[in-house]
Amino acid sequence: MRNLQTVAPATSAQTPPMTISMSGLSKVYRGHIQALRNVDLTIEQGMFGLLGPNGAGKTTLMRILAGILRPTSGTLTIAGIDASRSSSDRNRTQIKRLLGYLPQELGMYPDLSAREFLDYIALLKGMDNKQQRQARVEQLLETVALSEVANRKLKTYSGGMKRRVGIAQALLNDPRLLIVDEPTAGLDPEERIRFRNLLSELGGNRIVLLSTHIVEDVAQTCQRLAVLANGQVRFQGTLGELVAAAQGKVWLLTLPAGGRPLGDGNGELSVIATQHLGAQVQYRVVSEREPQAPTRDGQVASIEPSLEDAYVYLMREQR
Amino acid sequence: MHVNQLGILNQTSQPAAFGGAFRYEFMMQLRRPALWIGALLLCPFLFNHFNAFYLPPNGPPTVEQSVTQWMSFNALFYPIIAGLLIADRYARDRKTRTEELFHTMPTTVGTRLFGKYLGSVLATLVPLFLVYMVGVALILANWHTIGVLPMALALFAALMLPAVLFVGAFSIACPTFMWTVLYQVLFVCYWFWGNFLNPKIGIPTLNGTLLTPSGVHISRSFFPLGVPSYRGFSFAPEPLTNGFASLGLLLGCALIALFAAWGIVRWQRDQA
Ligand SMILES: Nc1ncnc2c1ncn2[C@@H]1O[C@H](COP(=O)(O)OP(=O)(O)O)[C@@H](O)[C@H]1O
Ligand SMILES: [Mg+2]
Repeated sequence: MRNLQTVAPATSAQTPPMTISMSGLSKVYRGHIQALRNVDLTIEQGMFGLLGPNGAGKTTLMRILAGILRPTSGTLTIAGIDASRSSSDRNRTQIKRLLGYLPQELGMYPDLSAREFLDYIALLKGMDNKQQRQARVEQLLETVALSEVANRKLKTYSGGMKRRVGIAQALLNDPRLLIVDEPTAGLDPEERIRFRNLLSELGGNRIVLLSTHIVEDVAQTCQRLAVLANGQVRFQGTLGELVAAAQGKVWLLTLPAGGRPLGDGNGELSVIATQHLGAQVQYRVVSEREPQAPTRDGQVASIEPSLEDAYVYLMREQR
Repeated sequence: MHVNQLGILNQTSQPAAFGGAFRYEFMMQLRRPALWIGALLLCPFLFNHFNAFYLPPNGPPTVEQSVTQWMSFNALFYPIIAGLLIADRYARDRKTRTEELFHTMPTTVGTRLFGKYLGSVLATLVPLFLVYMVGVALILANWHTIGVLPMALALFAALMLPAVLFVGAFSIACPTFMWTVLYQVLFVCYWFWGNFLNPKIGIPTLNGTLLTPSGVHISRSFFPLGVPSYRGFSFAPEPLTNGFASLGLLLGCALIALFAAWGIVRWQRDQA
């Protein structure tokens, strides 16, 4: 193996950039559940966020990229290798060699220790040099701050610790494509921040694909993102572009206590936050047009959209 | 290792993956309390009337026969426990959801399956080996000889190993496509049908055929004792070919079961 000494950046600077491109990609599960519809997406090196509500098809897309599922139709190329429905086992194996995958629900053997589990996965990834393998395992245990407890059985680990074992196992082969599915779900705020920071350090010469239904996760880690809903790509671009689309659509309504915001008559108004300030109440709302204050003493001001506002705006726009 | 221009390893070491699956499946099976409890629960039954069955003056006339009989008795019962305890090994990968992760590895399903099979079979044999050797030690001590120790070990290798390799293969293979508990019930029924049912009753049975899993033919042809029978155990010599045929059939069936499992798991993976 090369580059066992470093966790990031992946491999050397000379290697050509890693890209994933898909067009018209669809997946229909048995029982006619269409999880992906005509997905066109290009993913370049760096951190890439896949944002969408539960059931949007994020896991399906990631499992296709990880070679667990085959797409029903459409084309998919990973690092120049064809991964469409009819791609050969050889191609799929090639892709798996450059892959690190952290599933949404990571399976582990409860009766192994973290060190043993990582060693097992390293062997299954084909790392046959014992010294290099052990050095790599120790180094990753260090990276995810589990060296101290590495001999404890996995069944005694907390959710956050298991997630860290999960990212360590994904990194064993220094993957050029790292896929992490909802890595922060179920973590407490401290662990979530820690995990995000860890992921941010992994960018560089690889693709880190992160899925989440939490806007904040993407805001903190990714430069580029795609928003998926109902199996379709609703947006792809940079964080800035997503926010720019909601420019002039976010408002702050200040009303006397007890006041309720009115829409433009079509109910096209989403309340993002409500804040009670003594005699007044403040609503942060997303609306296509300037909302009207219900009474004279109400105030309306246009404000800068946050990423969360932009996400809400996008999702309601295309409902 | 060779790395191509994309930084991808050109080769993945399948032997490393096989070794990994073997080693960790061995370890995990050996750490299972159920394995040791199972072997312990069998002990009162195996050692019941031990003196009368295996030791002088009431036991068999020779130490060779004593040891052979002790092995045969073990081989008749222990594989039931082995089959039951190996049956959950593949199903467990689905229950713990490790299978999904393993499907993203560059190593093949077959490598992992065979490693898992050999590792869990050998681990399952460990407690049994200890129980068996306790019996052997008692027999040897009473006959004041250690001359038949090699024979005792050879008996284990020729009878118990093939029997557990045989049941182990089906216990790995069948739960890939059927409910583990159902398989376990069917397996126990099969064992009694194939080993205990007297062929003379008229119901077709494997008992007495070359496929008798507990290995009567292997024992009679490789370890002939010249004594027609003793308390129901018959050790009448048989031609060597019978022993090889029986061994070949048991191991051949095991291989067929494993290859079938390989195909099934690959097919299931590609259906998703
Ligand atoms: N194995 C499966 N069989 C059938 N339908 C599935 C399967 N997995 C997911 N789905 C369905 O596909 C859709 C997308 O699911 P998923 O990809 O898990 O979304 P997400 O990860 O964004 O929550 C959902 O409607 C879900 O019920
Ligand atoms: Mg999901």
